[in-house]
Amino acid sequence: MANNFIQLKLPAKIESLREFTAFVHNAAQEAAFPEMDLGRLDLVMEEVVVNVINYAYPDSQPGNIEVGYAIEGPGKLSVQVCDSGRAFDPLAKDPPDLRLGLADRPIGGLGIFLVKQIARSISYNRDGDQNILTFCLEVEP
Amino acid sequence: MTIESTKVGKAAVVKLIGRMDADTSKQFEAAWDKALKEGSTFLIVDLSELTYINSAGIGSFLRNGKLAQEKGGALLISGLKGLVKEIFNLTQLTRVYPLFDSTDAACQSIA
Repeated sequence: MANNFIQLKLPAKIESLREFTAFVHNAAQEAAFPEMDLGRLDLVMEEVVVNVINYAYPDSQPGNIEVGYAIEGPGKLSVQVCDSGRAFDPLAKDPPDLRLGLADRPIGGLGIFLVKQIARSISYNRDGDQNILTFCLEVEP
Repeated sequence: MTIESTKVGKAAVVKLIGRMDADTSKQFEAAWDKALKEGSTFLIVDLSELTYINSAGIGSFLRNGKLAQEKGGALLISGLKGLVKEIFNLTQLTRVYPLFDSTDAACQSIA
């Protein structure tokens, strides 16, 4: 986790989701995000954190998630989501085929696609035993 | 999220109010399952007061739409706006489901 990030560490359980999203949501309010952008941020946070909760740790070895943020300026927020689970790059997944008709479209697989569409920038790093996903959201001028 | 359901002919008209996420999307699925059992084949969803949706909610729209199609019906959308409209556009559900300005217009289209 970068030094200048304000951090919150909680168990990688679904019960932690609300606290993580509220933590970053409050920072975005401080950074003067309008309502629509707060909704975009909530969505990105939910998708990223749920992904870690579901896939990072085996049931036999529960672990933590660390979320940090830095307000880069009015309307600009950087967020890091870190875990010490198995190496997993969520950004490496193929994009969904949105041209398919309703009968052929799978029901899942849209979460990280939406995150990539909404975030201004997003990157994944494996640092030692940590997965680090960093993204930035910026309010349209 | 609050759900208001009414029946108009062969259509269930469902108004979603609030935020749709992994938990509340199950309510939407349950509402459609109930309407299907009661004989509805068309599902008209009023989104004019839905303020938030995530991928779990989009998954529920795909699920409910598929079930409607299997019954020879369809899912129709009215009142799409704001963040929910943006997410429908990004996932191209706007290409999958017919869009209407009002539930009345949606009802008339299947009358």
